[in-house]
Amino acid sequence: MNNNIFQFNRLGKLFRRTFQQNSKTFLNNALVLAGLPILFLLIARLTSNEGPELLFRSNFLTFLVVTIFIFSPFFYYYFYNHSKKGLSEVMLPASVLEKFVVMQIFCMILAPLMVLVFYGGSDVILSALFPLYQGGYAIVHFFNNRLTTDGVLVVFLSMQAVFFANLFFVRRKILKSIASFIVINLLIAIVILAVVKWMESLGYLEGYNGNVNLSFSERGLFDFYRGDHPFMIFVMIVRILMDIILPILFMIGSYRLMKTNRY
Amino acid sequence: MITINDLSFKYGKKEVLNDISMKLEAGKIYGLLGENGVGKTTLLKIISGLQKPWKGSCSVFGEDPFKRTPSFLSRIFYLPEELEFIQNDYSIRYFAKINAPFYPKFDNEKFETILKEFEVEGDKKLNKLSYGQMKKAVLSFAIATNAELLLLDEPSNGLDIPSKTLFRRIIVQYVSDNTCTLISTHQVRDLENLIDPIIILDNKAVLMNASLEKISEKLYFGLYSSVPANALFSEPTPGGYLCVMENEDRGESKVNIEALFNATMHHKSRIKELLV
Repeated sequence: MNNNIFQFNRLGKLFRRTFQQNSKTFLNNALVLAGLPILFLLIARLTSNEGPELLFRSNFLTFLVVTIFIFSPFFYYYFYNHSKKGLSEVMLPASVLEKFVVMQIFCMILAPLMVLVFYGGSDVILSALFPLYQGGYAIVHFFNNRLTTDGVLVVFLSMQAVFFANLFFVRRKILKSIASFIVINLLIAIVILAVVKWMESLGYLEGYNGNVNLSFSERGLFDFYRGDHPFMIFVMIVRILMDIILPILFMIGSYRLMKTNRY
Repeated sequence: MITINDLSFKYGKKEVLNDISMKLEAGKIYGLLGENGVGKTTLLKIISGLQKPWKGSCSVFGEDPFKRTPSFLSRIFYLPEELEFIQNDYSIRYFAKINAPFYPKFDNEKFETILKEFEVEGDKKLNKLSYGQMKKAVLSFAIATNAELLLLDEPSNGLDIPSKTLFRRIIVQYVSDNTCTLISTHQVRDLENLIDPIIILDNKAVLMNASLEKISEKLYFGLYSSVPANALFSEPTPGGYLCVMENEDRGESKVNIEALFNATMHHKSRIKELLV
């Protein structure tokens, strides 16, 4: 019996096809990414006697990883729901679940991994070859100082929102996505503010002197304690909503759009 | 193979198809004719699973095409009129290499033979090919998939005259015997001697779904020096008038599809009565 929902064999074929289809883009991207640290070193040597600073290289790596991670659905799957250009994907004999999984893995893992491997790798090689000009490794600094659970969750939410918007909007999707994100963020801020005001009017904020911007180092996502202040419970609920529920809703919405999109 | 029951479809408030029903069988090359905007492409999209009926049902191989299951998709090939989906920076051979694994019955030898017959350069980038060459390249791939259902939307558009002849021959020669081919066109002359049965769509309804044999049994196509009073349709030709009339024991005649189409447009209800 043919499994129409999920088969590892078809998933493998889809992966291979995606690589083959985008091989030139990947190669070009890899060359550009690997060339950037060389360019930075050359510019720094030409303009001053010192090499590019570790902090700058690490910050640039963070910027690249975050940008590629968040916007990869636009880069690789911009035409998925295009009524004409999208036919090669939608009519491909694979299930929506398999297509969804491959798209998610490409955007979440392979696209940022490419930055780490080629930009980070090139930086490592340069630092190893020219230790007098360039000190430290950007990739090590990135993993030690930039990669935090809170950061990953924020970027994950943003990426899932972009993934959804890429499938939801058909034309002018980047512009519409940015506009709708602004509106949604404003709405969320207004709702949160309204709830806080309401809590304040009921006296729930009295005696609260804690932090409203919790991080994972302070408290886990589900670490509710007996005797927590009502406002702390509210902050924890907002965190769960933003870090877990919203991304899951975006993923479900994206899958549903892929399944029911009409061309 | 395809069963459509009381199917209706709307784009917003605009009704395109209204309560249409028909059955299509394997091993036949159907010609789907109709004026621009009557819903030919929409019908192909519904059959291929790209659109969902607003009302009624469409069943292909016994399943709902809109579910777009892998097993369903591997048994059909839909070739749209516009080929934006394939304007890539690689060749048709590379396209076949990356897509063929999804079609279990893909025949690479057949693909290469058809490419050769169409005189398409298999290694030339798709976005560098002319529209006609690109169409021939994708047609080669479509036929080589050995799909059980081939849906071709205006396949002769963009082909030059020798290629149109070649196209007809390749369809007859290489499309598998058990394949149901549905060709939508408004250029009926391009598909003369190829399509049988003929489906005519008009004003949101199926006016005709009949074999050439049945059409020739009910209608007579003849050349007359003057137009007979009972002609359903006539058209001046170099030797007189080509007329379409009800066949009242005149025997068999060769169906002229363009004249048939025009006659149907002029006498919809009568032809529907005769042929449905």
